[in-house]
Amino acid sequence: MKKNNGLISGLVLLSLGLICGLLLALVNELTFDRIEAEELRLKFEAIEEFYDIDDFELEEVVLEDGSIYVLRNQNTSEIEHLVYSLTASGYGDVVEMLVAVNVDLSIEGYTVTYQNESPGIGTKIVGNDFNYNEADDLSTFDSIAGATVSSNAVKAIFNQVADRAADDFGGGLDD
Amino acid sequence: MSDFIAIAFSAFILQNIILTQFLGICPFIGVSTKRSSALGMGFAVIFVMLISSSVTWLLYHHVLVRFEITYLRTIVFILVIAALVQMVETFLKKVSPSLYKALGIYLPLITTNCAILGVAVLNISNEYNFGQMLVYTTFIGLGFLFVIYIFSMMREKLDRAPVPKAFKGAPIALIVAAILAIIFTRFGGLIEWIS
Amino acid sequence: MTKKENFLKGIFKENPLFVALLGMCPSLAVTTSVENALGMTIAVIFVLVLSNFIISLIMSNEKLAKLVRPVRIPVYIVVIATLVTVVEMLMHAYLISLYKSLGIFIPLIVVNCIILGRAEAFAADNKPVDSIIDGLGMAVGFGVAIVIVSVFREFLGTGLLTIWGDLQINLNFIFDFLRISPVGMFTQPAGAFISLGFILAIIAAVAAKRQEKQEKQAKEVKANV
Repeated sequence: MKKNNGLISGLVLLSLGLICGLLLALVNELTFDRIEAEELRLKFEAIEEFYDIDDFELEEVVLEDGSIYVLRNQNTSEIEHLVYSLTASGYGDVVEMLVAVNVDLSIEGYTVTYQNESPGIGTKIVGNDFNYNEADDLSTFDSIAGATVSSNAVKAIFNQVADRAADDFGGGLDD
Repeated sequence: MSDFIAIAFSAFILQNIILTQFLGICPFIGVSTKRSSALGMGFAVIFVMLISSSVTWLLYHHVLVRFEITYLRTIVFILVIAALVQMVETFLKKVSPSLYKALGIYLPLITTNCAILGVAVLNISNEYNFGQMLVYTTFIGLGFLFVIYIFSMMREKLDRAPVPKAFKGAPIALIVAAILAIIFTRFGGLIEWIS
Repeated sequence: MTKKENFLKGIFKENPLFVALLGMCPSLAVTTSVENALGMTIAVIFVLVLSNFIISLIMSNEKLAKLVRPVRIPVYIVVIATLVTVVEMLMHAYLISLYKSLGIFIPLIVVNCIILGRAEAFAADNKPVDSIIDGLGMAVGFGVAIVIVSVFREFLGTGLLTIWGDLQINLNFIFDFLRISPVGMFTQPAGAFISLGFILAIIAAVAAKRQEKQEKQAKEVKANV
């Protein structure tokens, strides 16, 4: 009698598990598409800070640890803007930033999209015009990054952008 | 290799499970009043963490992902952890009564320890491969042990110190933890300065 | 216990965070802004009320309760984990920025001792309606507690109070008036520990004073008798 009870209890647990599994599968079905759409919307929202996406052809080039959003002229297909989504290591966790660059290598703006060293601190630090060609002095980034996000990470990301921006505009991405 | 060193260092200090990620606070405040119990809890946690993280990682990547049922992650993980803790307890009781006497009482408390489930989930969200997962989990566990042990030493002293009545117990423990947290997170600056 | 007492005990006398010291992990992590604290509260209300209700339903049925009792902890865990996963998916779909802010602490609601604790201590032995009220009271009590901590932290740390999305209260003028600036540390780990430590100390002090008063009054009554 005792053994039977144990078995039945196990069966009750199993059937409960099955019911819950089915319920979750149902909720998953219902929310899956919306989740995908929302994730995409977040990405574009960040880019919309700098440019109006509707005016361009948007293409994403996936890199090893980040991506580049290429905005081409709708008529000529020439690259007009590049938005770099790059990561670098900060104090504790990675720092992910978007850096928007124009054809003339001026920086349209930048924003931090992920940082975890100061959990909870907002991630929108949008900057202003900044002509990259004139910026030999990367120390000015210190004042932008401030104490909340590791300035080294921000510098590293800007360096990465500096290293490849000219190439990418000049056709380095056409492959 | 340097990848592993970076992960290990980050797991131990920069992203210390207790002081930076806020996981495992309940045993941290509750069990750290004596050095011996802190040591016992620390080792029990490392042990359970390694086994559970390995098992959940394997289950996630080879079962949940393959059958596209990743939404069952939470439910599967917590059940695996609960079952593992139960098995470890029974196993210890039979195989090594002395070890069971030392660690056994902490095991039931570990099931609801957010650090165990937390690390299992972190290994997935950080997208580690098996090797990285092992390194990360080991050093998270060691970081837990380290912090809880240091803390227990401080608390033993605190118990005899003239603390204002309102602060006795949890409040003063939390404030001391704050100081530890500052020390740990500023280590990040040291590394930046070195590199 | 009246229904009102049942509800209010979760907020005052048996407040899960301030009195029972449960749920400290999320309390330290999500109190960086009032918005995050409110979001976590909503999730916890959903899970705790429904889990108390469902578990009470299951355990109210005599035969079912007898079968479930030997495996009741795994049963509670399955119910709670399912509810948490549902909350997770709904948040991901409809409140995605909150989902990203709360991060790993949404699935960690499963191991929040408050929920499993109420299931074992109350829902298993009480009627469904009472269990709902108990769950609601405890969850609201938890919410009140973490909102208090987050107001403390966010105000001292940034001078703003972010209520929901773009709805912010800018209290920086207080800092300007005192000619100091917000202390950023409060939004970081160390600040979390300090905030919670001080708030718990204040509550302990208030409770001690109240007890002193009660004892004094009791002595006076005795003396007069």
